[in-house]
Amino acid sequence: MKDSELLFEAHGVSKSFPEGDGGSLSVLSDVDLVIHRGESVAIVGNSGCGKSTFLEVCASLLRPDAGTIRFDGNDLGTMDDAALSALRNQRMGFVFQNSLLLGDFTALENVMIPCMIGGMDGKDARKKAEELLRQVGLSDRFHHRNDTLSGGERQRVAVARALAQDPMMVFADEPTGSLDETNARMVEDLLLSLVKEHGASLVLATHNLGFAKRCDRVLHLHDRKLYDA
Amino acid sequence: MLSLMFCIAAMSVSLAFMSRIATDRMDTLRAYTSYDLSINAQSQEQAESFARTIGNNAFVYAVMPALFEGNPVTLRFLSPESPAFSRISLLTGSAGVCVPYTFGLRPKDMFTITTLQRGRQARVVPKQEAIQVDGVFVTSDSQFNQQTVVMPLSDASRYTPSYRVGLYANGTVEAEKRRIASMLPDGTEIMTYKESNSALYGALHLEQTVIRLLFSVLLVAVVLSVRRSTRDLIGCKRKEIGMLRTLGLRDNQVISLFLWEALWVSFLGIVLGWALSLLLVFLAPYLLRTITLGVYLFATDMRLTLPVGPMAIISLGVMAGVLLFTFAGTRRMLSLQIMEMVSDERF
Repeated sequence: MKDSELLFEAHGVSKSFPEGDGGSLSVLSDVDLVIHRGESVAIVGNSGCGKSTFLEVCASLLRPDAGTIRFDGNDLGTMDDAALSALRNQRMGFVFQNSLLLGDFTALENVMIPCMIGGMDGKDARKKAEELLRQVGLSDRFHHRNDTLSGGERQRVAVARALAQDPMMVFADEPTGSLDETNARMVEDLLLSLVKEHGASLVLATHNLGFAKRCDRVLHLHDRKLYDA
Repeated sequence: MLSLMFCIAAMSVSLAFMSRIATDRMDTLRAYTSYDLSINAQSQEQAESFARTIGNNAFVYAVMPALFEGNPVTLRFLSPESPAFSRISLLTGSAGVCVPYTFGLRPKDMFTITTLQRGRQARVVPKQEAIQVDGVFVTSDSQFNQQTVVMPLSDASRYTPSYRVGLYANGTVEAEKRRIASMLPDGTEIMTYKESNSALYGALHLEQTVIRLLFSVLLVAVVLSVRRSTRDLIGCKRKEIGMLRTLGLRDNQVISLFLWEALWVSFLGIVLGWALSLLLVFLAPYLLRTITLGVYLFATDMRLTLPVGPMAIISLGVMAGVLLFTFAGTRRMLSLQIMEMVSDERF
């Protein structure tokens, strides 16, 4: 990969959490990561090793204690709320383990929301959301609310929502962690194919090695450090 | 929103009710008992002279304590032509010796009253006298209805040498007092209705102060309830807002979302509260009549008036409080990092 294709850099990232006894639990220590445009990277490791924390720090959802993170040439640590929000809206997509759809909205509205936050016209947002839901095989679930969708369907809505603004990078945290094998496979296929189709990069945190191996690169988080697997 | 509506309605109706009772008590005193102003005279001639000097608003009257069937009553001597007599509604019979309907007497019935009069050797001597009823009256003052016998002014000299001049003021009572004082000899005792009923007026004043205090406590309760509701509302939406922030919603947009919602909820709560208050205020006289089963227990006129001024201040205060708590709560929530909001775990 050429240096001009560099999309994401994390250098010397450390993160710890306070503990009840007044001490702190160090989860990440001096971690580095570089991701290029269109590249898919899987981070694997044992449960509780800090995969999700690292992903959240990379996606600016958690502040690191130390280190710098650059995304598309922007240092996330120096950006204000408005700029970071715009970055999350237009250049990042997120898929969480429990889908985290907005309960009061339908599948269609959940996918429309990022577009509308980004200033897209309602009609265009609707058209785009319908197209994405068709791509994830939910053309008959447009007007179903969160509580009437199955776990697999919710994750597919979440994938569609992550791609709604044509992001440069999708962050996926255990996207198949709470699904059965069939649904997990379906979400894997959709996520990998759609991310590639949209030309986005993917950072995947998972303990599913089969899923991880389908990515361009697999990294192993162990003892607070990241290693090539 | 509903709790705010009921709080606003409860406060406004309570205020209207208490204000009505306080006003009504003073109004009935002014109408039937102490009048706006009363002037002490040394004799009947002096009272008549004062009345002539003051003008045609003024009237001479006298008051004498007595007993009717062992209960204390007041003999109130009034001329049928006096403005004070015209405020008493005759149910039956004619002007003259008039008893309240509560005595259960009819015109031409005889009743006995006992008075204490000056004797030659003893200081006071009880004297019983049978009197014939000429008319039966009713007023809106329940106490007056139970403890007053209206007698002709011409009979007053048989019972008491103390005469007074009564007056209903055209303008403010204090201004009228000053005007009359300038017309009468120096040293003439002129008392306003507040001075004549200073103990009662003081008690009413104290009552008003206590009501205001209770009202403040109620207001604090409303504010605390609003604060708690706001905190709960924001707490409920924590995860949802965290999710919207991952999708690119800015902090300012989150704050304005919550402020708009709080503004609408409080506005609707207050508007509905006012609507309910208006309804209750309108229905109050009918409800009270139903509750008292038509008995004239509340001789008071219970037509309430919505306390617009105080309620407007309270409504604005509540709305400002809601917005303030919402703003502070949202800011506190936004101080969390996104994953702290989205995650079920407490960081």
